[in-house]
Amino acid sequence: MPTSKWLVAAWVALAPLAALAAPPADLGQRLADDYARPAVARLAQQAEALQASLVGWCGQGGGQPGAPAVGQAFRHTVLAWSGVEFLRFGPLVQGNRYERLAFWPDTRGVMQRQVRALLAQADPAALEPQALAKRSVALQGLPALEYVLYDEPGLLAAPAGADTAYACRYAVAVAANVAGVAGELRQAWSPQGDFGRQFTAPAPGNDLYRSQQEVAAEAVKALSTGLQFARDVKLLPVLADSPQAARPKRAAFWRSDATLPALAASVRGLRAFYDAGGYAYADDESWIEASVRGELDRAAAAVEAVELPLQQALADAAAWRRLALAGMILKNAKDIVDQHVAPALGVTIGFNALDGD
Amino acid sequence: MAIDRRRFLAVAAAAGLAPATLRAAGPAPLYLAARRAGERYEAVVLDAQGCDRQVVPMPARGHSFALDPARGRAVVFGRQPGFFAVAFRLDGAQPPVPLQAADGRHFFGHGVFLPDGRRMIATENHYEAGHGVLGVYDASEGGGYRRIGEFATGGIGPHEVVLLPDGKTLCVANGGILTHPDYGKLELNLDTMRPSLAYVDAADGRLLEQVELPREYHRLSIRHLAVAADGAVWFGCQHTGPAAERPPLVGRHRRGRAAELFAGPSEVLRGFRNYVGSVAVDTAGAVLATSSPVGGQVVYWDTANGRCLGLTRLADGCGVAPLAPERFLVNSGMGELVRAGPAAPVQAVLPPTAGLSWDNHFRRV
Repeated sequence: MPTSKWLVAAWVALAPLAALAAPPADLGQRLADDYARPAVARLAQQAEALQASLVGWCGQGGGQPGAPAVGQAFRHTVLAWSGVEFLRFGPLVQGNRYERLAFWPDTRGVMQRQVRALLAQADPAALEPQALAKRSVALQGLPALEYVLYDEPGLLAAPAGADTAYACRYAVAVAANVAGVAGELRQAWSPQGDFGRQFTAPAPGNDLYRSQQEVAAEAVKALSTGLQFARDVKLLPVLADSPQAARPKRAAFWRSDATLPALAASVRGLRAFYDAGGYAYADDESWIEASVRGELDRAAAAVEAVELPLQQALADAAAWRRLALAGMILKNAKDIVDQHVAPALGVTIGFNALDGD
Repeated sequence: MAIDRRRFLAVAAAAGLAPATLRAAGPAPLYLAARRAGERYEAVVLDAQGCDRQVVPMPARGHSFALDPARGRAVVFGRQPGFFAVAFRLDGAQPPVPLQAADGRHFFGHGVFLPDGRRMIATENHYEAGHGVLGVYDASEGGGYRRIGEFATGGIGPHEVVLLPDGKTLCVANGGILTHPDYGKLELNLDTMRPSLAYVDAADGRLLEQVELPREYHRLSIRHLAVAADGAVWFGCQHTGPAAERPPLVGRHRRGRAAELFAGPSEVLRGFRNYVGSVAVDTAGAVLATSSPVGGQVVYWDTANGRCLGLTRLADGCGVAPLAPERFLVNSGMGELVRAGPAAPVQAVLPPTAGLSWDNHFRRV
């Protein structure tokens, strides 16, 4: 399998001839109002609903009757996160928020090891309000919650009254932590938040964003790295070279079988984030718009067309090929963003700045 | 990763790895860089006028070099996660020798020869264990660059390694960033990064001294190193934390002391965009150049006191190499090559060229 390259955090620069190409004058406002603010609000709402659902269910001692509703609330939270995860700048990278929400990929199995140790200790102090926020990020987020719900001890499948009270309370604490971090994101992006203010009204006196061009650079970077993450991190290591070599356990959220819906939700989110920018192109570049949208729609549709559970899908030659096709489309979409959308917005991607070292 | 190696060897065989030697190396200083020319990746030996002296084909993008000036040799490493390296003679007298990363290891892109020419040492990732190592290679006559062992670097993600003037102590920049080749350069441990400078005995791998930055800078990845005339190690960093944070990116360490950081004027610091791609000292070892391809600037510093001496703007400029006292050769991802420094105007050597991109590092030998 080809070794993927990964972009480091900073790689876009403003074009020297930026005056020739310009982003919309209200780009930051559009991206915030039409995408980022609703997306982080949805995540916060879903996480709060998940927390409430777990509180009620665990309070009754768990068991089958309430389990599907909890699983549903978990899935909705994962899908909401999929629309937020590529906004990997500003508030999401402050205070390890990204890792606190989703410590993944976890090449050394840190989450599993730490969650098992915590459950074995069953220390009540770890579950006090705010206590989890001070522990390892691997214990705090959606992968850890998925682990206790679906794997060990597998709360959703456990009979009522089983000896899982501590694990259930831990699940509540994780959901509360996720809701808390999501609430911080919502606040930071809001018109009252320092980040939200600077992003929507870049100005020469600002510390963070001084022009719409700098906002455009951030947006293009998020779009491009989001597409790369979807393909190089979420999809290709799972697909490997063939259905026989596929590695389902490398997938994000494989335990809850939310992998493919989450991937599709991310790609749909990237499309909506692109649309929110309201980018305008010169007449001879007008093809870019339809091309970016078309590729993102086709990639999402290719993933959504796979109806089998992930493990079966990977073993099925037709489904595997469909996912491989989604990977190719994502690559193409990223190339269009890098080679055509970026310059049209006055953003260049340098050779050394592109793939820094 | 076996496939990568097989593929490399196949490519190497197909390419013949035949050096296009144009002229034998003379006494004038030579420069080494990796580049992309059209669709080709190459390592190049240049003169100070930017003329190719030798071109070494590579199977993928290169990064930096281990240099053995006394014997006219160098090794170019693939950029991280690199599974290949190529050893070659500066005069092209013998065909290049492809090297492959050991099982479970990949190159980070930097290395050194020891002065006696018997050992070559490269920064590598022991990626399943998630810790940094220095691969030790037999560079003696007939040794064939066989890998004969490895030393721990005392940290994660070792990037550049330099040899101190004593000829026996290595200084390694443990960038602190955990990566795994399955995920390219994706940072897997941003929450727990602990970058450090480690001094390692080149003879036996003993960790002699290790220095960390103050705790608030735990996301400041120490990446690139240069040794000043007084023996102090200067380093350039890349900040992996939020863009709103602007920690100092340039520092100095002298053995037995704490590391010092130098921020420079705030607008200069902002202009780095939290990224230093390469560092070098001038031929007198008195001026340090630090480049940021992301910010498009090269900034100069007085190694006596850390004072910022000014800057040169160069879009996607990254490779810096000493040319003379207070003068550097600087190249860019746009194909440009210029002479620049803190005290005199920029002089063009090669213009920007479509389809030609110089890679991050530029070395004088």
